[in-house]
Amino acid sequence: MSDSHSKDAWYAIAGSRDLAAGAVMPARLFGEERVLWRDGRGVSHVWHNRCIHRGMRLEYGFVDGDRLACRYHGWRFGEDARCVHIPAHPDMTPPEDFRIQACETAEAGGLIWTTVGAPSGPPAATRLDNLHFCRTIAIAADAADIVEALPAIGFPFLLGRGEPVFAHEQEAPGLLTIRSTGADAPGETLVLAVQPTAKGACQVHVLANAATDDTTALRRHFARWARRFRWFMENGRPPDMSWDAKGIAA
Amino acid sequence: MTPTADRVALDDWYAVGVSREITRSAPRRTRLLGQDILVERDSAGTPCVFAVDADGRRRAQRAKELYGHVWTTLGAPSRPLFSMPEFDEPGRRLVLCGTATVRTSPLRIVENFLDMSHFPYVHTGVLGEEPETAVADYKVEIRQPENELWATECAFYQPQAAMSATGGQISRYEYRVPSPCVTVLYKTCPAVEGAWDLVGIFVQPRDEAVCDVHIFMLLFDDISSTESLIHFQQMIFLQDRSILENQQPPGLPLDPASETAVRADRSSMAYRRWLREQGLTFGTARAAADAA
Repeated sequence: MSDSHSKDAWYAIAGSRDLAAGAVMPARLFGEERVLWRDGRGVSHVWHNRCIHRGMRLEYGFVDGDRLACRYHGWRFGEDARCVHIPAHPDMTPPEDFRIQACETAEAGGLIWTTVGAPSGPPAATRLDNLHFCRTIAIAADAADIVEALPAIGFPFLLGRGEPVFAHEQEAPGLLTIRSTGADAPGETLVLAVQPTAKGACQVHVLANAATDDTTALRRHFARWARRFRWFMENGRPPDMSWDAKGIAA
Repeated sequence: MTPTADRVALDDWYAVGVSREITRSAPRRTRLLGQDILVERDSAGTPCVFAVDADGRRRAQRAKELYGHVWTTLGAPSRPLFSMPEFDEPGRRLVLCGTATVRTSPLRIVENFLDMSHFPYVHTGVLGEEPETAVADYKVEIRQPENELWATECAFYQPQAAMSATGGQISRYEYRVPSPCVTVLYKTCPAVEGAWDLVGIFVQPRDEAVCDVHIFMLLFDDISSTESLIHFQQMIFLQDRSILENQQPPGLPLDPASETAVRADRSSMAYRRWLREQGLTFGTARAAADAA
């Protein structure tokens, strides 16, 4: 894993759109397993993906109102990650220290963020204002390689042919910004939020904006670009298909 | 993967195949405790087990044929293979339910087998169902001189306790663990008043976190087809497998502080303590950490 991806930084681990109310899903960050879930009131939570009782992965659990239930024995954990109900002993009040290890969590800029370290402030999500979440794509490559490879793949604007400008800021190591300078693609922006999942693997959350009201076309355009980018990262060369081809390997 | 050096694990008996599946023409190449082995029959039909080393050299091991399975040991067991008289009991029907590969420690598999509180969540609508989730207190003891773990006076409400059940019932259970990788349960027979069905697993640890689980039943059920009985038991076991392969770490933690327990886990806690007292490390969380 690259040193440029500090463990003390925030990383996006999912698009907000991809975690519906009542949904539970797994995530990885620097090889650590996490579970994400959204309670009935719409609040997202990121915890260690392991039940304190018998080690079961909580990603297979289910949401019961404002509680996450483990699939193995139905233990319910409240929003503060404390065990609030043990079905085998319905009348028992679980001890104070029966709790899942909760992680720092933030939801901003259309993404859900967490950290495995100690970040100094909130996630740098204000720069994502006005962007549209397009998709998340898993890539079999180190997060550091994504940063290096990006200029080589090229950046196809939705609306024009302006020269791309790449920015990778150290204070937000997971965020790569690409902006158009061309007159016919004003303000067109692509942001990649790179999530180092494990050695040799990452996820890239793709967000974009362009001067168009057709956000569906925008999402589709950059989702296609993301698939092409993955092909490039995993095969070391651009795909043989033309950019507009519908058949790019998904 | 090299064979384990754990003497406690080596000096025990393990089922390494289903008797009827091992024939002259179909030997079984498999693994036990990290050691490649070959299970076959000689010209007289007697089962033979060989350890097969990396250079292809074969070393004969002790072999027995009992309880519908072929058994072996890679070490020098200090006591004979456990006795299970139900195999000779008149009226019982032996149903061999097949062998399932499960990617976890043998100890996690046995511990799950002893557990009742997962029934409403893992075997929903069959062996349990909300809101009937409470586990009443039961007894746990180590029986000497055999040094076997027993849990008795267990009871649980079950919507469909067995293939032959026609509705919900309170099932009564007893659990017996004669050795760390063998366990059976005795359970209220829905078809015959006062009788106990027997369901068991013989766990063959191929490696520390990969097992072949040989599943069988000894039932008082003359009505259900063998096929439907096997389907029922396989459905139950595959539900368990979806849990077992997702427990972290795969090795069973023997340190009481590393996982949380409640009263319903008394059999699990006794099992862990019993393993610790025997000095077993193979398949434990500690052994996994040492190997890493």
